[in-house]
Amino acid sequence: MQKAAAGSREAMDRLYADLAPPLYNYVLRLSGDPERADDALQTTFLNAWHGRASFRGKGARPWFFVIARNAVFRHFPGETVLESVDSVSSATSPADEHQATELADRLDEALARLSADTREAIVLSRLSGLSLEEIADLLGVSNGALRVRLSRGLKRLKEELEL
Amino acid sequence: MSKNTDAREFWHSELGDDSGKALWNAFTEVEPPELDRQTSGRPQAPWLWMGMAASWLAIAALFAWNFDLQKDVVEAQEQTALVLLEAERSDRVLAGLANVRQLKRDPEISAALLELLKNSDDPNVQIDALDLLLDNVLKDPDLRREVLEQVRFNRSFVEFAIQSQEVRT
Repeated sequence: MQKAAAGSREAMDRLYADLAPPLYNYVLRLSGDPERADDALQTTFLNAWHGRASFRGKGARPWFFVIARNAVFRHFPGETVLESVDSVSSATSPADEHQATELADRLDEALARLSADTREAIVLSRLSGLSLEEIADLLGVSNGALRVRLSRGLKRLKEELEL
Repeated sequence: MSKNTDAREFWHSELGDDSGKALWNAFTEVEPPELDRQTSGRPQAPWLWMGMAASWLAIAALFAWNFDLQKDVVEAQEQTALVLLEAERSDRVLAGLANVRQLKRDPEISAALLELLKNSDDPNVQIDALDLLLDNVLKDPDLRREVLEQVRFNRSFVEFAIQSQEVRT
């Protein structure tokens, strides 16, 4: 990140390769629309590039997630909608794949029924690669409050998916 | 060990190993789009560079072709004007003079205008020719006098017109 902050495009490209997947999946689930998520992702990296001189953080990943979150809420304010995503399945057989797709669809529906705050916490804890402490910082809550939020959300998902 | 290990461990501790694993794996990930770099107008891929260079060349060729075409059009307009200035009928000569107003002054046209001023017997033609000549060619008072001496028809009228023009300017 230091090289990217100094203006190295190669370093920024490496950051994109590393961070675009989790960021995209995060903004996709927040914005609810692949096109909006695409815009938010591009905006995130554009803002990061323009604001690279102001980077003072400990790590690039939390900083990028803050920018992505701002991009989503600034450009698409209001209640976010959960996007049902086309899966990149790791299932090995057609039967497994069908089962995995079905579970993914049910998961999307169950997530959509959660509150936006809880949903965001769960999505971040699963897809961002951030530690719980970093997620709590990002969401502006204490570590304990985040754990309570996650615990409730996860238990509700478990019940709804009958896992 | 990745940084979000604590998140995964938390999931497992909250849901139990089997459910935690099942739920963790149920989250699907989507491939992000390519980075659309908009910090400059320059394309990244070599074939895009070539396409852009070809486009610029085509635009340059189009401009050059357009410039040549315009030059041809102006030359054609000059030739038409010269033919009209040499016509016998006054209405055609006046039309030629109107065309000359749209064109840049050219020595050949100036010579034709001087001939009209000297030899035309139509006062309207003479005054139009004089009007076109005074701004550019007949700035020098000595030259004006010299030309005036050569005027064959309506000399007093042309002389009066020149004096009026001088008063106006």
